[in-house]
Amino acid sequence: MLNNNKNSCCGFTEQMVSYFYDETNQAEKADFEAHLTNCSDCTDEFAGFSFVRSSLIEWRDEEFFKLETLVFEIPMIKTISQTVESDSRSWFSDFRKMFSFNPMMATAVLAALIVCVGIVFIAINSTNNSEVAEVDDKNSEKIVASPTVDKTNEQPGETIAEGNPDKSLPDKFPKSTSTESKDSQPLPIREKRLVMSDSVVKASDDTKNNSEKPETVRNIKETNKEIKKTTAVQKQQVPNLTTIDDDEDKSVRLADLFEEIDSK
Amino acid sequence: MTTNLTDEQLVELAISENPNAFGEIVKRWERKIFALCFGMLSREEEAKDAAQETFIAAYRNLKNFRGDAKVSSWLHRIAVNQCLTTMRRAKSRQESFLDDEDQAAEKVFIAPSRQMPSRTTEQNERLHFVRQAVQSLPVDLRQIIVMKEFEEMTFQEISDVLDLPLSTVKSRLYTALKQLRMKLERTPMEIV
Repeated sequence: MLNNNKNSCCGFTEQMVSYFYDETNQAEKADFEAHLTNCSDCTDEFAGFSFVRSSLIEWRDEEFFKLETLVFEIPMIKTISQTVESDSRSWFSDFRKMFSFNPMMATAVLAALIVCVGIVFIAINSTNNSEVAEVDDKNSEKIVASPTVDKTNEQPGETIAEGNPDKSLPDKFPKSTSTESKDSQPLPIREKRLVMSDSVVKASDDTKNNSEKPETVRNIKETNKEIKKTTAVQKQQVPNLTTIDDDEDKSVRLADLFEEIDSK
Repeated sequence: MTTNLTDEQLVELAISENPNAFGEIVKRWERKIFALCFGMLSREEEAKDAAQETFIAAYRNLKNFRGDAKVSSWLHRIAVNQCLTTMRRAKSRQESFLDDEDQAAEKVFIAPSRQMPSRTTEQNERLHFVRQAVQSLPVDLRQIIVMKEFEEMTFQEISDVLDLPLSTVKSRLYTALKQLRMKLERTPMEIV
């Protein structure tokens, strides 16, 4: 019926397609219609295209147009809306929500907090009491032991202090004790130690009287620290007995004492 | 509110993470994209999946969208690519079951005929041949036929979407119609 192998040789290819789909202006339409009446090939082709198009339209109407418009579910849109909602919520609302959803959990957390605070409070009290007791014990020991300590370091300490009191103590030695501030002149080590031990005795007496006062405990600690420092400094400054000549050593000796007793 | 905006404005809104904006784009174009996919693939389920994948791909690549092209062109290009991917997948699936390649090429894109009681056997056969003829067209010709007949787009719109000269669109459509005519006139439809 139709010559399928025949190409459109008229040069009206584009005009035919435009006319076929009714996308031409009036002038082009008139031109093509005039050509169509004179060209049998174009007429045949136009009839063939109409047949193809009717088949396509039938297929479209029968199968595609009956299909319902699909509802597309795009998961990202949901996730975005969810994230936007979650971002708009503040941390406080989340915190409140946590408690509002689970009151049992909230009460449990509060109870645990109270127990923890109680344990910490008891622990702090017990450590304070034990510290005070330790300080009392140490002070009482020092009150008894301070003279013996003085005796052990008596001779070299005295010699150094007597010989050159300013140079006997290093610059690092703390000079700002309460008793020293009253007396502008620097005291010898032994006197200092006695002064400090007196303050310790006083402090220990105070702690015995008012063991729960925190100020007295602090004073006791400070004085203990000072005592430790002074002893350490003395140990560093006191020369060995072997380094002092016998002529220079003017301290009282046991042999001399025994001789005096024998002579008496 | 979003219904008055252009496609390009909607895309800008969607980029700024307004979920309703992209929903409006989907609403506007879902039918046409589905028609294109149906025309290209000839199977309802595959067309539905391809259309959905098109919108998902569009959403994922929203930030890569350049304002110099139309949203419709962009969506159509994604849809055509999606259909080609679906066809390649279907072909590879089919080839794994069929030994004869020629037999496979004939059967790959033929949708099962919908046996509707209202239709006659002759009509079913005719529709089957039309589908077969369209599916046998090259992709570049097929997409233009589908855009013209299923989406009812103008030549200018097709030209914009495919980024082709207007004359190329018309010549391709002419070639497509001519090939379809040849295929359909070989079938018993002519007798009917």
